[in-house]
Amino acid sequence: MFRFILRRLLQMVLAFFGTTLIVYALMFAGQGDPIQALAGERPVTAAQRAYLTEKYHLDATGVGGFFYRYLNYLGGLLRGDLGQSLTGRQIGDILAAAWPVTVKLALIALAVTVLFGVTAGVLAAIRRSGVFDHATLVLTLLVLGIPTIVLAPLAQYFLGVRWPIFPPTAGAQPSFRALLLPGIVLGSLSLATALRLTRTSVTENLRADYVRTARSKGLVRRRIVGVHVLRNSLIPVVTFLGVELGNLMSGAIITEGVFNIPGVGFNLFRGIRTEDGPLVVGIVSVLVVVYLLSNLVVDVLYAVLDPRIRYE
Amino acid sequence: MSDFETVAATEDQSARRGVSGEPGTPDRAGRPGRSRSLAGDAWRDLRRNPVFWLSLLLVLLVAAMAVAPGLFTANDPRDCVLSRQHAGPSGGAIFGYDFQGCDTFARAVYGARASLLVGAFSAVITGVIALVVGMLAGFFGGWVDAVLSRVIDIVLGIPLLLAAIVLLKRVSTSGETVRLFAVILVLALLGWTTAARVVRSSVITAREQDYVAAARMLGAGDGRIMWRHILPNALAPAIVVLTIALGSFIAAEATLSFLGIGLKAPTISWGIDIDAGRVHMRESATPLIVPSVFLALTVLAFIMLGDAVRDAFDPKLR
Repeated sequence: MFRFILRRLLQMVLAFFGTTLIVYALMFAGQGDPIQALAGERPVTAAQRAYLTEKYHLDATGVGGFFYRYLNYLGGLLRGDLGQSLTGRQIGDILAAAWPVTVKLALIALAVTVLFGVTAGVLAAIRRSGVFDHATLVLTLLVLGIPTIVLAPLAQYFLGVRWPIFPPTAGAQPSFRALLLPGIVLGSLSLATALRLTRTSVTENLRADYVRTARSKGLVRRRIVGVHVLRNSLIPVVTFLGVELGNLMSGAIITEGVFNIPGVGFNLFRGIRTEDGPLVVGIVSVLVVVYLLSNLVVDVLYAVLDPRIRYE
Repeated sequence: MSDFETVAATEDQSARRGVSGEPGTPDRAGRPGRSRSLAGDAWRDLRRNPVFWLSLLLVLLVAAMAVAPGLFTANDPRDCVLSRQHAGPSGGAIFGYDFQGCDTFARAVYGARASLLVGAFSAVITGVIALVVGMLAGFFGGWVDAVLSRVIDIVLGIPLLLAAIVLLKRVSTSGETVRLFAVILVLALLGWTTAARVVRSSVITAREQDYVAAARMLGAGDGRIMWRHILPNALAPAIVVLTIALGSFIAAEATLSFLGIGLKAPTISWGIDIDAGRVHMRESATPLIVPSVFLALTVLAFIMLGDAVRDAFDPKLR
């Protein structure tokens, strides 16, 4: 177990260097004019140019110059210094303000997933091939097939504007009520996957020998399903939800952009729209690290939850 | 299904596994009279599946729109007059006009072309990469497999949307065609991993079959065995995965265009139109709803088609 975690950590370090190198190289290196790329489709004054050249050591050329700048950027990243956005704000400050909102949204989405996805999955598995089972299968296929860029604006229009059940957008300090609809939209995708996963895994476990044993001991059905089957069936679901938490953090770009929620995804959305290069690179670097970390945690969790799984 | 039938099906299946030759070559080796090929079984299943026909119909409809949009609407999607802003249905424009005064329906019809181009080309490139990588990794095993599998792991670990944002920022000022190919390349470069894994596992299964050993004994080289004997067996599962991938590529293209980093005007794309319609949804919702429905139905059609074909080809589900 220890050796596995160690190896996995080493792999992650490699992946971290690889990804940041790619992100950095693509954003800033090998272009005709990095300063122009940094500023986007806007004119750059001579004073700005001189300032940026000195700040980013752009006068050093060649491979040595590139790696010098990359290591500089990496050093800043490791110290938590992400630099400034084009508007002059510290990217670290922007992210610090945005994280709590994104985490709140992701948790609501996760709660929706667990509450509806797992419950409906268990019900569908118990009444396999029933009306409920078929209905949920069709519904999950629909949800999986409809992209977020369709689901989010349509939910906003129908449930926020046409029939105002939810507030259509969230403000600077979003309340729980304002985050509810975006949370449901964000969670619906993982809800569909969680439902299918639960259904398959419960169906498989219902056929297991220990269920027959429990039944022959005279246990009531409620207890067999609620305690024996559920506990064993939830292992793949829990690991899936772990991966999803990482996905929800980075996948909230569209949802946060549409519902105007000032989280991390919204800032990335705005950075793309306003051609704010440093902001985009800063946020993407952090999100990649979050993604890598959540994958690591899930891999370890997998081994802890299911003793049958052995690495090595 | 009665027990007898289940048993018969299993027997049929194991018999098939024993003698299966290359698809396409007539197989006369002592098969019982009634048995069918895997593809024949799958086709028999598919023929009775309404989901298959419905999704196939939708896919063909969208393909027709992409090839000949003029058949579906007489209006020019780029003929925009501001005086018609948010005007109701009239003169062939059955869903009225959008904020810029363009025909909403005509734009949705013409938007099919960009989506299908991106989806189809990305799927083809993905398929080629996946077949080459999966074949090499599965056939040679050993260190080749180890290296290629790690590469797959790394690419699989890159979040698609974030990577596409970074990659596509490099072509922010290029022309229409360059952009289209940039989107295709980016999606293909990030999306081949699942298909490669599928190919790899089916190659590993096929490699151990008797007919491969027979071919080797007859003196066939690695290249010939891979091309003539293993590839045809690895192709069917790969095509199913690619059909589903095609749907998700279309969704990804629309998402990138929606964010403003994929395709850009004057290219007509559902993602761009959804974004534009979203801004003015309080005044008129049809310019938002029409491209949304087109996009959702197209993506759904490809995913359902892939799902139906996979179910038909997967004997475990019968």
